[in-house]
Amino acid sequence: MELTLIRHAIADEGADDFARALSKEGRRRFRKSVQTLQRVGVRFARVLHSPKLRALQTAELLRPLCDGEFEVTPLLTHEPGDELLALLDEHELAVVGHEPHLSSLLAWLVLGDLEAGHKFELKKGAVARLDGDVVPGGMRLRALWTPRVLR
Amino acid sequence: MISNASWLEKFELSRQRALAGEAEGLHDVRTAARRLRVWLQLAGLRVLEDDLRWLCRETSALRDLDVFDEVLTAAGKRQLRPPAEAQARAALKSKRVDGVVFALKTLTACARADARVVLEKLERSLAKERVKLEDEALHALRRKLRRVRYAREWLGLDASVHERAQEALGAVCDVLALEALLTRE
Repeated sequence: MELTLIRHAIADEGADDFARALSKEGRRRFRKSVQTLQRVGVRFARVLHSPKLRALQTAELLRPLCDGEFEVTPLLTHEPGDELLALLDEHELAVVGHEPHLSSLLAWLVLGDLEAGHKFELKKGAVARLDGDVVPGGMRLRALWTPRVLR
Repeated sequence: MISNASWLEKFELSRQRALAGEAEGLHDVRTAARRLRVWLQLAGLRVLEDDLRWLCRETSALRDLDVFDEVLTAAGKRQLRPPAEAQARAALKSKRVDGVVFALKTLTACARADARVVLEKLERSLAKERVKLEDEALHALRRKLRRVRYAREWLGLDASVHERAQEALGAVCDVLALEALLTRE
């Protein structure tokens, strides 16, 4: 099973956390990242994303990389749990979410420890590629691309 | 700017009515979902469209049973209704649909000029359509017609011709759907 975790791109500040939109620069940079991913042959069969505006807009920019459905889930707006894990059991899935939950998910899947998210740094627009079984500690981290590398 | 607020509110209210077991509530939530899909299209967005399409798909079996309630036998209803109700209920109560509502609230408006460009594209696509007397072709034509009608209505343009054509085509498609349902019964 291949799984890709993507932190949303750079967003503007705002009082309403759900309604923070991507900044112009955030969009520009993430478009470049998508072009790089396209060049190295990354494809997704499905994209799962959070309902917050910045994640929604980041998911929208992934359109050229996805052949299948997009799915929204509020489970990505809080600490990962079994319900979220059940949604991830799909080949070539991309997940667009937020910190600190995305790092926690990464640590849970790779190290089996939900509390070890601090060991991974996911900058805005970063991409982590995993493979293995979607169970705690069942996946390997194959690549962690910073936004700078992708640009 | 075109706001989605009025149909989003109708979507939420009819979702509650549908969950309370009201057949018209189910019809209304599906209509609101389709209108919001067209709004997303006018806004140039692909995200959330799949989620709304999924909701319509998951509730379609129950809607068909509501429409054809009078012609189904009691045995047919006993066989077909419980799984259709369970499927629709699970979708209506799902976190996926909660997510759609959260997300649509953040997407407050789309630009009228951009929406016009999309409408023209939809109208060109509809104009190219040639009627073929085949089930799938008729359903596809009805879908295109509905999209153009809703897009025109989002922009405040007259869509009465589209509405009448959609209703006429709807009657034909209902016969096809009934035939399919009776084959299953």
